Amino acid sequence: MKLAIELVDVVKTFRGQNQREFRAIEQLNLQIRDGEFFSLLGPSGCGKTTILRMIAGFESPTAGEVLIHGEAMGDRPPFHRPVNTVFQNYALFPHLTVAQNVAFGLEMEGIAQAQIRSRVGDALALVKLNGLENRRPRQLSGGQQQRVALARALVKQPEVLLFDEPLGALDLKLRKAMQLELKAMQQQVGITFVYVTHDQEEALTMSDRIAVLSEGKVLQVGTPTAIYEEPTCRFVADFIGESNFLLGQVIEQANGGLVVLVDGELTLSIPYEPELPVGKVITLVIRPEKVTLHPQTHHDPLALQGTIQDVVYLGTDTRFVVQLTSKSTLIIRRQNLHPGKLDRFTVGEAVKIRVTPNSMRVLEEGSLGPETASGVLNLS
Amino acid sequence: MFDRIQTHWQTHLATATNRRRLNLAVLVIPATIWLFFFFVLPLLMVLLYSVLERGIYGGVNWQFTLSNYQRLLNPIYWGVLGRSLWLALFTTVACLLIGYPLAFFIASRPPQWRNTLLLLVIIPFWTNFLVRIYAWIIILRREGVINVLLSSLNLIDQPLDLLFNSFAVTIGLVYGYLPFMILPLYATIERFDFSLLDASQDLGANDLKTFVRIVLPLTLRGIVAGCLLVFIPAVGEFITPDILGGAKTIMMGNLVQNQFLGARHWPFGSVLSIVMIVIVLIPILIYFRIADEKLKAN
Repeated sequence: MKLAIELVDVVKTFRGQNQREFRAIEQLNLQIRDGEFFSLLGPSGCGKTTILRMIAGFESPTAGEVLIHGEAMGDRPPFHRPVNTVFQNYALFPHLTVAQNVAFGLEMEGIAQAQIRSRVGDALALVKLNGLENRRPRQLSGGQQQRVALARALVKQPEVLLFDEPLGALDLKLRKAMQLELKAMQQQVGITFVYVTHDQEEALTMSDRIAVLSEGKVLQVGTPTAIYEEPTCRFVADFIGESNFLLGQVIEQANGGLVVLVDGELTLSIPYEPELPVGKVITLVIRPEKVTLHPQTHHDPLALQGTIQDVVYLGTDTRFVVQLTSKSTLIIRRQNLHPGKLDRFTVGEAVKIRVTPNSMRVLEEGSLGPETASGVLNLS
Repeated sequence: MFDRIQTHWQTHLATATNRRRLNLAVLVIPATIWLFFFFVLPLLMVLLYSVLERGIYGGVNWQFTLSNYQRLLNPIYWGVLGRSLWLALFTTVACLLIGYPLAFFIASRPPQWRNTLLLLVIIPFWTNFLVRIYAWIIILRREGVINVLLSSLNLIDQPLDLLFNSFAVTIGLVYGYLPFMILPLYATIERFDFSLLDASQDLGANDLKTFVRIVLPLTLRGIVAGCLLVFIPAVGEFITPDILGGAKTIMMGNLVQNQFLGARHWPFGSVLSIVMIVIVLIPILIYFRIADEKLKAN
């Protein structure tokens, strides 16, 4: 597999005010494949933009090395790197027309005027901005400005295109449309896209692979499905979509699975390969849409007991908050396939909650965070 | 009935328009009076005096003549005019070369530092201009700070003649007008979007190309404003050349001052004033022409 970008043991520290050192990136290793749509996903301040700026050459790593197509970049300035960036605020040149903005990068390469004209035309056609060549950036809408920024970077035919939250300033509908368009465009032009975003839905929609970052560290790298279905840590499970966390205690390990006492109430056999000692406390992750609600009268030995605390109608589905016997709460989402039966569950009603062992994900983290640490004691 | 309502409405509209006109007039009157008495009237007087004969003890004789303008043909005045223009131009360029990097430096500091640095630029204004110019005599004279320092370091055998020449005048002019260059430049550069530097570099422009293609065009307004603010008063300067140039470096301003106060030749002083006004008008007109074309282009 050919690599477009490789970050090897990259560390980045900044000197803040009063000269205190701040570690933005810690010992980062990342491999981005040629031709893939790769997203750097994380909350603000996680270092994702710093990584992008190090690839582009605006920052140089304190330690470690950035390689683009196998070539170490060292301190090579941005104007000598085979990458281009679409900036968060677009950074269009206000004194130049749309065509001049797009032509700028080609002029810097010393390409002949005739060729520049045809390539600028092609790029503007690709982003569907024909006819606006002679406008100034401030005469354009946000979405159009975004397209100019895209055309300006694409026209250079870079090996890698970097995006720094480019859709952040657009309204929801436009953002959704642009997401699909960007994805289609990436498949059309076939160059590597590295995309920084804090919007997990955006990352899931567009990416071939996603790196989830927190506090300067990569927590998990994988396809959208892997990130959503098989989170390897609590942060990823919590950050991508909604998750329920239940404590479990290992009772027995047998033929490729664990027998776990879930929430101190229910014994389930959960598929899990690695060996875990008996008695170990683990965290079980389960997505709200994979839990089913049943009336109290429903006979099911593999169900948890709970009381409905809250019901929120969300259009496509309804969101229930249920309190379990252990006092921990569970969020359940239920698609509104049969609207007539919606109000079957009401606040205060006792219910049975069915969790299928296969849809549970085991994390070897034995607490639900400091606030529920006492929950661990209840189990033993 | 309907007619009456309509008439009433029309009168109402008419009075409203009248009232607005009246308000406008009231607001404009003070400025108009001010401009008339302190700008138009003096200007007309200067124009009038320039075509009258000289009075023996100053003032004018009410006799039409163009001889004052003929006197301008004397090459002596061309020399003074040339020197004034040259010194003012040199001062402007020097202020720009010093002021631009400085303004850029201030504007790219963290916000909490900018005001302090700007204050340092403005602080000299708290002292009288004359006092500051006299301070340069102490620095530049033969027994002055620079000469003492250089000879104590054994770098020179005898003191340098730094004072009472064009060099001293130029130093004084650059020193005096530098803030007028820095402030408009700072105002423009401070609004400059520094992420454009990243974008330009990202697209393959090195530092020089980025400066020429992006920074310079986007800060041109400040450059032009600063240059006008320095050039215009520098052409008419008479205090600095008087004090730092001795009697040797005469500028147009000195000439005007001499004609009115020394030679008591008001008409010729007026002619020289008009020449200066024309000289100053030229760059301003060019500036407006450029600004106009930019407006049309957009």
